Amino acid sequence: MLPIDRYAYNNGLSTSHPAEKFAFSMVTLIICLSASDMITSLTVILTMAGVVVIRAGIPVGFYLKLMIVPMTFLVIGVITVAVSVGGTEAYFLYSFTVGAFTLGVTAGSLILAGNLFIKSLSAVSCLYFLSLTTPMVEIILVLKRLHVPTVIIELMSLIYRFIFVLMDTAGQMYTAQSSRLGYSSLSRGYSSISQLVTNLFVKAYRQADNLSVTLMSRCYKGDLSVLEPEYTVSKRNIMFIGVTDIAFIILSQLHGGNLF
Amino acid sequence: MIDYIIGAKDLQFGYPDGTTALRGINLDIEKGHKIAVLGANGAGKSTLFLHLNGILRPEKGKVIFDGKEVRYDSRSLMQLRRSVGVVFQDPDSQIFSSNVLQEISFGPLNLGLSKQEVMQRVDAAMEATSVNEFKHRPVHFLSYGQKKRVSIAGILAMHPRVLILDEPTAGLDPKLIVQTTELFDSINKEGITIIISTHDVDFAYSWADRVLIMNQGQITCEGRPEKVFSNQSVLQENDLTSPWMLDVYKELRKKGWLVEHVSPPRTKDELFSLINQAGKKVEVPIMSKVSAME
Repeated sequence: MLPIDRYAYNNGLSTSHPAEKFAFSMVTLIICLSASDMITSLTVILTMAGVVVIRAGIPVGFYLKLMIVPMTFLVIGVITVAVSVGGTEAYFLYSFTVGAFTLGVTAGSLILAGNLFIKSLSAVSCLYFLSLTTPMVEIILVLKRLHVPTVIIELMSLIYRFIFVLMDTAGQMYTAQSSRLGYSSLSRGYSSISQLVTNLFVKAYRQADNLSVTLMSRCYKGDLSVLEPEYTVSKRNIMFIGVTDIAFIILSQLHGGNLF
Repeated sequence: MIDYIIGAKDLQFGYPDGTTALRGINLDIEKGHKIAVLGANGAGKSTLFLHLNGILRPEKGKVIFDGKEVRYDSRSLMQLRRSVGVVFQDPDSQIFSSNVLQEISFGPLNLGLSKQEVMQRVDAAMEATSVNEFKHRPVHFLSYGQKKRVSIAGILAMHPRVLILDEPTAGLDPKLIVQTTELFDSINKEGITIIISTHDVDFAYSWADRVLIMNQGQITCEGRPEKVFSNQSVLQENDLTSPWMLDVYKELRKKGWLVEHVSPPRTKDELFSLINQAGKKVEVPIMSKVSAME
């Protein structure tokens, strides 16, 4: 999770307008979800990988590792689609019988599963594009412009900020515990981790208290209004987004998509 | 007439858990002074600061700002908080935004200024605290010292008349201590009163115009640093040590190497020039040496 955050701040697209990146990711995501063929999905996966690796300069190895992360969930999910129960053996492409049940795959279910797999992966690649190129602060900024309620915006930015404070604190506690052999055996490890979590809760609670004091001392009046940095809109990027997404739409329509 | 900016009369306060934090604080701070507040942990320094900023309300007694008693309706509190800025000890409890620019702009925006004015103030504050070099980095990638500077910039941008800093040099490396001390001096030159709590007697001695010593919720001693730190019994009662510079000065005096009626040196340079003068004592007639010292 942390390397993603690091790349988000430091990539070839970090100076681009966040709204451009947000739009590219979201529009393509919608196209992916409505497309019903493998070719569109595969094209999206390859395009996103290309943009992330070539344009944003994210290392290929790291990107591949990231793509493997959702694989476990996907494979398990897809198996349940591919395998069906019942019917006669002739009905299946391949099957085996366990007691009274016959389990097997048909050509249709295989195609459906493969489609689903690639489709999910293409949707994931759209989200990866956004999270690898756009820092959370900027995504929040875009959501603010889209008039997402202030409460949600402020909660998002506070949670994001304090995830790191919490992780730092937890890390320090963990080091302090393990330097005193707190994790030298399984049972000790359990008792140490329970103490760590308890302490972390108390500390987080106190931190929240402190934050409200420090905000009040800076004339806090109920909303966290802050200045927004300026970004320049790039015509080239908008052209690229437009052309690519229109190409995706045409491609998916040619293969029986149901976007419209 | 002496112009007092902020003070307190018989301030008393206890926390809900029963600890009495302040037992009758009387305080008058002159406009434009540099104040160092010393005292053991739990002496009540932070509690006092929270009163001066209107976060805590005294049980008894009153806080006085600019000659007027502080009132606790929201309007008066806003007025007080825009004039008295507090930089808290832990920057992580003060910085709420992951973006440096947004963090610093929060205070001035609350003052109802125009965006342009806020931007100017933020820029100036970033310049003064040398935050510019890392302003594009997210807060969680910053070092402790950098976060500290961001938290100071966030208060500076509000243009307070009194700047209170809770142990600002704790956890900083020597170079940063020198830099931040210079920053405080340049802020002070613009007429801003600065109150700093510290455990560093050497820093308090050479930096402050006046020193306050707190012990168990009371101000036990107050005065010019060379006076306060020369008082052995005060230092002993409050578990403080004497600044090294004063020790050296006393030793030189004891040895008879310094002329009488020379006030103790405040900085290293002053001390060295005293020593140099003493070295010339043998050759130089008394009269010219005294005039050289003035």
